[in-house]
Amino acid sequence: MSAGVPREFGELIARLKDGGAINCRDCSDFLMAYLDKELDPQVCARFEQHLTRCSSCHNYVETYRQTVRLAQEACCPKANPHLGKMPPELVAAILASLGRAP
Amino acid sequence: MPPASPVESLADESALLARLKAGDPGAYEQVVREMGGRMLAVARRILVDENESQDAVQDAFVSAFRNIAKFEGNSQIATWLHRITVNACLMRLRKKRRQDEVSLDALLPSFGADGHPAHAASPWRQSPTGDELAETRESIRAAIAKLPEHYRIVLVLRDIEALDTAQTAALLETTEAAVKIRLHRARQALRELLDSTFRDSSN
Ligand SMILES: [Zn+2]
Repeated sequence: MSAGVPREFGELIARLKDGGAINCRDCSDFLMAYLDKELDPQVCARFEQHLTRCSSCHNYVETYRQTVRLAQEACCPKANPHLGKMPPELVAAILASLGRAP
Repeated sequence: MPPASPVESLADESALLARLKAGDPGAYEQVVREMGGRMLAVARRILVDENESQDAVQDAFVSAFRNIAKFEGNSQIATWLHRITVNACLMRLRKKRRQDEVSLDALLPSFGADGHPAHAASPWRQSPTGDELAETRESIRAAIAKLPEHYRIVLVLRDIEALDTAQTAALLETTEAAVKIRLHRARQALRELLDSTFRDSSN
Protein backbone atom coordinates (compact mmCIF):
# COMPACT_ATOMS: atom_id res chain seq x y z
CA MET A 1 0.00 0.00 0.00
CA SER A 2 1.27 3.43 -0.84
CA ALA A 3 1.41 6.23 1.71
CA GLY A 4 -1.81 8.11 2.24
CA VAL A 5 -4.12 5.23 1.38
CA PRO A 6 -7.04 5.24 3.82
CA ARG A 7 -6.55 2.78 6.65
CA GLU A 8 -9.75 0.94 5.73
CA PHE A 9 -7.78 -0.81 3.00
CA GLY A 10 -6.02 -2.80 5.66
CA GLU A 11 -9.34 -3.97 7.03
CA LEU A 12 -10.62 -4.95 3.59
CA ILE A 13 -7.47 -6.85 2.73
CA ALA A 14 -7.54 -8.67 6.08
CA ARG A 15 -11.16 -9.62 5.51
CA LEU A 16 -10.41 -10.92 2.00
CA LYS A 17 -7.49 -12.95 3.33
CA ASP A 18 -9.90 -14.52 5.83
CA GLY A 19 -11.92 -15.78 2.88
CA GLY A 20 -14.48 -12.94 2.93
CA ALA A 21 -16.09 -11.79 -0.31
CA ILE A 22 -16.03 -8.33 -1.83
CA ASN A 23 -19.48 -6.83 -1.61
CA CYS A 24 -21.11 -3.81 -3.23
CA ARG A 25 -20.29 -1.56 -0.28
CA ASP A 26 -16.60 -2.44 -0.64
CA CYS A 27 -16.79 -1.62 -4.35
CA SER A 28 -18.24 1.76 -3.57
CA ASP A 29 -15.72 2.51 -0.81
CA PHE A 30 -12.64 1.49 -2.72
CA LEU A 31 -13.66 2.48 -6.21
CA MET A 32 -11.33 5.47 -6.41
CA ALA A 33 -8.40 3.40 -5.20
CA TYR A 34 -9.30 0.86 -7.86
CA LEU A 35 -9.39 3.50 -10.62
CA ASP A 36 -6.12 5.00 -9.33
CA LYS A 37 -4.58 1.50 -9.46
CA GLU A 38 -3.73 1.61 -5.77
CA LEU A 39 -5.21 -1.77 -4.86
CA ASP A 40 -2.84 -4.67 -4.68
CA PRO A 41 -3.17 -7.04 -7.66
CA GLN A 42 -4.92 -9.79 -5.72
CA VAL A 43 -7.60 -7.45 -4.37
CA CYS A 44 -7.90 -5.74 -7.75
CA ALA A 45 -8.62 -9.06 -9.47
CA ARG A 46 -11.42 -9.78 -7.02
CA PHE A 47 -12.84 -6.31 -7.58
CA GLU A 48 -12.94 -6.89 -11.30
CA GLN A 49 -14.52 -10.26 -10.77
CA HIS A 50 -17.29 -8.61 -8.75
CA LEU A 51 -17.81 -6.01 -11.50
CA THR A 52 -18.37 -8.72 -14.13
CA ARG A 53 -21.05 -10.30 -11.95
CA CYS A 54 -22.80 -7.28 -10.47
CA SER A 55 -24.53 -4.95 -12.93
CA SER A 56 -25.22 -2.32 -10.25
CA CYS A 57 -21.54 -1.97 -9.37
CA HIS A 58 -20.60 -2.09 -13.05
CA ASN A 59 -23.03 0.77 -13.72
CA TYR A 60 -21.80 2.62 -10.65
CA VAL A 61 -18.17 2.49 -11.80
CA GLU A 62 -19.11 3.68 -15.28
CA THR A 63 -21.31 6.55 -14.08
CA TYR A 64 -18.67 7.58 -11.51
CA ARG A 65 -16.14 7.84 -14.34
CA GLN A 66 -18.65 9.79 -16.42
CA THR A 67 -19.21 12.14 -13.49
CA VAL A 68 -15.53 13.08 -13.38
CA ARG A 69 -15.41 13.53 -17.15
CA LEU A 70 -18.61 15.59 -17.26
CA ALA A 71 -17.38 17.85 -14.45
CA GLN A 72 -14.13 18.46 -16.33
CA GLU A 73 -15.91 19.19 -19.60
CA ALA A 74 -18.43 21.49 -17.94
CA CYS A 75 -15.62 23.58 -16.45
CA CYS A 76 -13.05 23.37 -19.26
CA PRO A 77 -12.15 26.91 -20.42
CA LYS A 78 -11.62 25.83 -24.03
CA ALA A 79 -15.10 24.33 -24.26
CA ASN A 80 -16.70 27.21 -22.35
CA PRO A 81 -14.84 30.36 -23.39
CA HIS A 82 -17.42 32.65 -21.81
CA LEU A 83 -16.27 31.43 -18.37
CA GLY A 84 -12.93 33.15 -18.90
CA LYS A 85 -14.01 36.55 -20.18
CA MET A 86 -12.06 39.30 -18.47
CA PRO A 87 -14.19 42.40 -17.79
CA PRO A 88 -12.34 45.53 -19.01
CA GLU A 89 -13.03 47.19 -15.62
CA LEU A 90 -11.10 44.42 -13.90
CA VAL A 91 -8.12 44.83 -16.23
CA ALA A 92 -8.21 48.55 -15.50
CA ALA A 93 -8.54 47.99 -11.75
CA ILE A 94 -5.57 45.62 -11.67
CA LEU A 95 -3.37 47.93 -13.72
CA ALA A 96 -4.43 50.87 -11.55
CA SER A 97 -3.64 49.00 -8.36
CA LEU A 98 -0.17 48.32 -9.75
CA GLY A 99 0.18 52.07 -10.08
CA ARG A 100 0.39 51.65 -13.82
CA ALA A 101 -2.99 52.64 -15.17
CA PRO A 102 -3.30 52.17 -18.93
CA MET B 1 -7.02 22.96 -15.40
CA PRO B 2 -3.70 24.80 -15.42
CA PRO B 3 -3.83 26.95 -18.53
CA ALA B 4 -1.36 26.55 -21.33
CA SER B 5 0.68 29.66 -21.77
CA PRO B 6 -0.54 31.93 -24.52
CA VAL B 7 3.05 32.95 -25.07
CA GLU B 8 4.06 31.00 -28.14
CA SER B 9 7.67 30.02 -27.55
CA LEU B 10 10.12 29.63 -24.72
CA ALA B 11 12.13 32.51 -26.15
CA ASP B 12 9.02 34.75 -25.98
CA GLU B 13 8.41 33.51 -22.46
CA SER B 14 11.85 34.42 -21.20
CA ALA B 15 11.77 37.76 -23.01
CA LEU B 16 8.44 38.53 -21.35
CA LEU B 17 9.80 37.48 -17.97
CA ALA B 18 12.80 39.75 -18.40
CA ARG B 19 10.48 42.68 -19.18
CA LEU B 20 8.34 41.87 -16.12
CA LYS B 21 11.40 41.79 -13.90
CA ALA B 22 12.52 45.10 -15.36
CA GLY B 23 9.16 46.58 -14.34
CA ASP B 24 8.00 47.25 -17.92
CA PRO B 25 4.37 48.47 -17.64
CA GLY B 26 3.61 47.13 -21.12
CA ALA B 27 4.64 43.66 -20.00
CA TYR B 28 2.36 43.82 -16.96
CA GLU B 29 -0.50 44.89 -19.15
CA GLN B 30 0.19 42.12 -21.66
CA VAL B 31 0.13 39.48 -18.92
CA VAL B 32 -3.07 40.83 -17.37
CA ARG B 33 -4.82 40.96 -20.74
CA GLU B 34 -3.59 37.60 -22.02
CA MET B 35 -3.81 35.54 -18.86
CA GLY B 36 -6.37 37.39 -16.79
CA GLY B 37 -9.34 35.60 -18.30
CA ARG B 38 -7.94 32.20 -17.49
CA MET B 39 -7.15 33.24 -13.94
CA LEU B 40 -10.65 34.63 -13.56
CA ALA B 41 -12.07 31.31 -14.77
CA VAL B 42 -10.02 29.56 -12.08
CA ALA B 43 -11.29 31.96 -9.41
CA ARG B 44 -14.89 31.54 -10.53
CA ARG B 45 -14.58 27.77 -10.27
CA ILE B 46 -13.21 27.97 -6.75
CA LEU B 47 -15.15 30.88 -5.30
CA VAL B 48 -18.33 30.85 -7.45
CA ASP B 49 -19.21 34.40 -6.28
CA GLU B 50 -18.35 36.87 -9.04
CA ASN B 51 -17.20 39.78 -6.88
CA GLU B 52 -15.04 37.56 -4.71
CA SER B 53 -13.57 36.00 -7.87
CA GLN B 54 -12.61 39.36 -9.37
CA ASP B 55 -11.10 40.51 -6.08
CA ALA B 56 -9.08 37.29 -5.83
CA VAL B 57 -7.70 37.76 -9.35
CA GLN B 58 -6.70 41.29 -8.46
CA ASP B 59 -5.00 40.04 -5.27
CA ALA B 60 -3.22 37.39 -7.32
CA PHE B 61 -1.81 39.74 -9.96
CA VAL B 62 -0.70 42.30 -7.40
CA SER B 63 1.01 39.59 -5.36
CA ALA B 64 2.55 38.00 -8.45
CA PHE B 65 4.05 41.23 -9.77
CA ARG B 66 5.20 42.28 -6.32
CA ASN B 67 7.07 38.98 -6.04
CA ILE B 68 8.25 38.74 -9.63
CA ALA B 69 11.88 38.87 -8.52
CA LYS B 70 11.38 35.54 -6.71
CA PHE B 71 10.07 33.82 -9.84
CA GLU B 72 12.94 31.80 -11.22
CA GLY B 73 11.38 30.83 -14.50
CA ASN B 74 11.48 27.11 -13.75
CA SER B 75 7.81 26.88 -14.65
CA GLN B 76 5.77 28.77 -17.20
CA ILE B 77 4.46 32.17 -16.20
CA ALA B 78 0.89 30.86 -16.64
CA THR B 79 1.55 27.91 -14.32
CA TRP B 80 3.08 30.21 -11.73
CA LEU B 81 0.13 32.61 -11.95
CA HIS B 82 -2.28 29.68 -11.69
CA ARG B 83 -0.72 28.65 -8.39
CA ILE B 84 -0.83 32.19 -7.02
CA THR B 85 -4.46 32.55 -8.09
CA VAL B 86 -5.47 29.29 -6.42
CA ASN B 87 -3.75 30.51 -3.25
CA ALA B 88 -5.48 33.89 -3.37
CA CYS B 89 -8.83 32.14 -3.79
CA LEU B 90 -8.23 29.77 -0.90
CA MET B 91 -7.32 32.68 1.37
CA ARG B 92 -10.66 34.30 0.54
CA LEU B 93 -12.51 31.03 0.95
CA ARG B 94 -11.10 30.62 4.48
CA LYS B 95 -12.23 34.11 5.45
CA LYS B 96 -15.76 33.60 4.20
CA ARG B 97 -18.44 32.91 6.74
CA ARG B 98 -19.20 29.22 6.60
CA GLN B 99 -22.58 28.72 5.07
CA ASP B 100 -25.05 26.22 6.38
CA GLU B 101 -23.91 23.14 4.63
CA VAL B 102 -26.20 20.41 3.51
CA SER B 103 -25.09 17.11 4.90
CA LEU B 104 -23.20 15.00 2.42
CA ASP B 105 -24.61 11.80 3.84
CA ALA B 106 -27.87 12.07 1.92
CA LEU B 107 -25.88 12.15 -1.32
CA LEU B 108 -23.75 9.09 -0.59
CA PRO B 109 -24.81 5.58 -1.55
CA SER B 110 -26.39 3.56 1.23
CA PHE B 111 -26.08 -0.16 1.83
CA GLY B 112 -27.83 -2.86 3.78
CA ALA B 113 -26.09 -4.87 6.49
CA ASP B 114 -25.20 -7.48 3.86
CA GLY B 115 -23.35 -4.85 1.78
CA HIS B 116 -26.00 -4.67 -0.95
CA PRO B 117 -26.93 -1.22 -2.24
CA ALA B 118 -30.26 0.30 -1.18
CA HIS B 119 -30.75 1.42 -4.80
CA ALA B 120 -29.18 -0.36 -7.76
CA ALA B 121 -27.20 1.92 -10.07
CA SER B 122 -28.44 2.37 -13.64
CA PRO B 123 -26.40 3.29 -16.71
CA TRP B 124 -26.45 6.86 -18.03
CA ARG B 125 -27.34 8.04 -21.50
CA GLN B 126 -24.72 9.66 -23.69
CA SER B 127 -24.17 13.31 -22.89
CA PRO B 128 -26.06 15.63 -25.24
CA THR B 129 -24.61 17.55 -28.16
CA GLY B 130 -25.59 20.74 -29.95
CA ASP B 131 -28.01 23.15 -28.34
CA GLU B 132 -28.62 20.99 -25.31
CA LEU B 133 -24.91 20.84 -24.48
CA ALA B 134 -24.51 24.35 -23.06
CA GLU B 135 -27.57 23.88 -20.88
CA THR B 136 -26.33 20.53 -19.61
CA ARG B 137 -22.93 21.96 -18.75
CA GLU B 138 -24.58 24.82 -16.90
CA SER B 139 -26.58 22.34 -14.82
CA ILE B 140 -23.41 20.35 -14.08
CA ARG B 141 -21.67 23.51 -12.86
CA ALA B 142 -24.71 24.29 -10.71
CA ALA B 143 -24.55 20.76 -9.24
CA ILE B 144 -20.85 21.21 -8.39
CA ALA B 145 -21.71 24.51 -6.68
CA LYS B 146 -24.25 22.69 -4.50
CA LEU B 147 -21.65 20.38 -2.95
CA PRO B 148 -20.67 21.19 0.62
CA GLU B 149 -17.69 23.55 0.52
CA HIS B 150 -15.32 21.13 2.22
CA TYR B 151 -15.86 18.57 -0.54
CA ARG B 152 -16.42 20.91 -3.47
CA ILE B 153 -13.03 22.55 -3.02
CA VAL B 154 -11.21 19.21 -3.21
CA LEU B 155 -13.12 18.19 -6.35
CA VAL B 156 -12.33 21.54 -7.99
CA LEU B 157 -8.63 21.46 -7.11
CA ARG B 158 -8.09 17.80 -8.04
CA ASP B 159 -10.43 17.11 -10.93
CA ILE B 160 -10.80 20.55 -12.50
CA GLU B 161 -7.60 22.43 -11.68
CA ALA B 162 -5.64 19.18 -12.03
CA LEU B 163 -3.52 19.64 -8.89
CA ASP B 164 -2.19 16.37 -7.51
CA THR B 165 -3.08 14.88 -4.13
CA ALA B 166 0.06 16.19 -2.42
CA GLN B 167 -0.38 19.74 -3.74
CA THR B 168 -4.04 19.75 -2.71
CA ALA B 169 -3.24 18.44 0.76
CA ALA B 170 -0.58 21.13 1.23
CA LEU B 171 -2.89 23.94 0.09
CA LEU B 172 -5.73 22.76 2.31
CA GLU B 173 -3.40 22.00 5.22
CA THR B 174 -4.59 18.44 5.55
CA THR B 175 -3.33 14.93 4.86
CA GLU B 176 -3.23 13.14 1.53
CA ALA B 177 -5.48 10.43 2.94
CA ALA B 178 -8.08 13.07 3.87
CA VAL B 179 -7.89 14.57 0.38
CA LYS B 180 -8.49 11.15 -1.17
CA ILE B 181 -11.49 10.44 1.02
CA ARG B 182 -13.00 13.87 0.40
CA LEU B 183 -12.44 13.65 -3.35
CA HIS B 184 -14.09 10.25 -3.55
CA ARG B 185 -17.08 11.40 -1.52
CA ALA B 186 -17.39 14.60 -3.54
CA ARG B 187 -17.45 12.59 -6.78
CA GLN B 188 -20.00 10.18 -5.32
CA ALA B 189 -22.21 13.06 -4.19
CA LEU B 190 -21.92 14.79 -7.58
CA ARG B 191 -22.76 11.51 -9.28
CA GLU B 192 -25.89 11.32 -7.15
CA LEU B 193 -26.85 14.91 -8.01
CA LEU B 194 -26.45 14.17 -11.73
CA ASP B 195 -28.09 10.76 -11.64
CA SER B 196 -31.66 11.93 -12.25
CA THR B 197 -30.54 14.01 -15.23
CA PHE B 198 -28.46 11.37 -16.91
CA ARG B 199 -30.18 8.15 -15.96
CA ASP B 200 -30.97 6.30 -19.17
CA SER B 201 -34.77 6.19 -19.23
CA SER B 202 -34.78 3.51 -21.94
CA ASN B 203 -33.31 1.06 -19.44
ZN1 LIG C 1 -21.97 -5.02 -6.50
